[in-house]
Amino acid sequence: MMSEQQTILKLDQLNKHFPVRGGLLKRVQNHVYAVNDISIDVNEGDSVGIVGESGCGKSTLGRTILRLEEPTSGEIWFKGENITDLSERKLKKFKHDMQMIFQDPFASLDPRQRVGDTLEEPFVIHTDLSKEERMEKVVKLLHEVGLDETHYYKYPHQFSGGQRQRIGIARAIALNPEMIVCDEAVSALDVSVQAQVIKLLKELQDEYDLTYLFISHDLGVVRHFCNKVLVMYLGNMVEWAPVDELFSNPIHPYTRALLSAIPRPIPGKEREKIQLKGDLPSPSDPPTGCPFHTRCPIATEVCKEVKPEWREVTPNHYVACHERG
Amino acid sequence: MNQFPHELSGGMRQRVMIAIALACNPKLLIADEPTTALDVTIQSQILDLIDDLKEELNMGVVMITHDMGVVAEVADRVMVMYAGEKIEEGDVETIFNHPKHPYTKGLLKSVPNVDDADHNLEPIAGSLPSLKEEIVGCRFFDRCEFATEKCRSQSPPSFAVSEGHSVRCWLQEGSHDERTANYS
Repeated sequence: MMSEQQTILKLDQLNKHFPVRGGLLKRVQNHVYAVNDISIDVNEGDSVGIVGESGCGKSTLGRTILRLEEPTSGEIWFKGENITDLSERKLKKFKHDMQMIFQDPFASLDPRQRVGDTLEEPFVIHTDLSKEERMEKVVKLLHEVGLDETHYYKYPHQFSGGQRQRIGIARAIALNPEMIVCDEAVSALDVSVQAQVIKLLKELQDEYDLTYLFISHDLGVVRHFCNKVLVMYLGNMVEWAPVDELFSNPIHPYTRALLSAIPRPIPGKEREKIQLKGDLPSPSDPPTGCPFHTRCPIATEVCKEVKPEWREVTPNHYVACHERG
Repeated sequence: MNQFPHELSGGMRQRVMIAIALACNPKLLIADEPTTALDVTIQSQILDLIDDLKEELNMGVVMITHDMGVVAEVADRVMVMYAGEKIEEGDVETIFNHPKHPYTKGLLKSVPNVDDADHNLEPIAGSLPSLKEEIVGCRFFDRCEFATEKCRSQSPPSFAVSEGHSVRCWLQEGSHDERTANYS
């Protein structure tokens, strides 16, 4: 099955480090190591979940893939072409194919622009359609995401959170992209509305063969929505596996702790909870060796000194840990 | 102790808030979404902390949250609210295992289950009514699949279904356990 699918996105040792400047001369004093050595292959039609706690670099990873942030080193291949160093002008044709849905649908819409105008904008920039044709397209888009033409002349504040996220989705699918990065796209919504939006995203995926990179801290949503999951910790890859494999057979102690910490909606259910001590270390001063060793319940001397290798433990199940696997 | 709030992490800040709240040995602690902004591993620490303190200080805890998982974990009794009204109340097992109000049922069905990938997500159609306008009838009317004419025109009172379990829904009118079993 794997060999027939086309790789749409390939990340090779991708790094993003933000310089921290300070002092009188504004010299670079340190770096925030947001994304470190990420290498994964994403196939067409995949829904890849990128999970981890806040500050683990998952949003930065998403933004770097779309070239909203310049990568520090490493390569991004999209549809067989290296887009790491493409100029803005050459990048434009790829921006058709890669879109993003943001967490806060209100902040990502222009409050003074009517929704119809916002949705028309991609067509103005990227196509030569006439005004009438563009309007037709926008109305079609509105229907596509469960809204209708009466919403064309309304402003963002006249919509509910769920409807705004539908507009965000309409904007993202306007140019028939092949890949969409969803950055916490349903996190701000109430559960009943969240389920509606998840359903919509799935329907659109079937209809347009979309590939999703689904950045989320909600493992329940990821289990439902994704077919592969990348777990990140402090900007590093921790575990990468097909979704059922990851949830039924988590290997890395961090993944295990993360899964055990989710409160289950089943009252009275006793479960083994792996309580992690302490907080996430600062990404500007990451620990030596394995980044997780400061909180790891099974860390040994080796873990403090040597960064664990990225290994394929069983087919398609990768993990970075000295002790397990 | 000599640190400023910005020097602390989110979990530490929430611990400080809990310390402030407990300074005068309260009998009741109202926690409004105390872990919503925290990551799961930190959330789990804070929930354990609140639970331990509850036992130690023998106080009551009112936990306001939208996370059904958190509810199942910490609560003994649950009150479900919709658009400003209490629509169902009962002990935690009853609410999760035998919910009666269509909204409570819908809410539970729209929570993704981490342990079961095949669990079918069923969203509740529509969105919350505006509270700026006066609502006659049941507040859940336009999203409810069981809604009748009566629900449109008259707001239902709270019916006691069994000991400690009350439901604000016309479906429960004059009912006791045998009859309502058909609806669930």
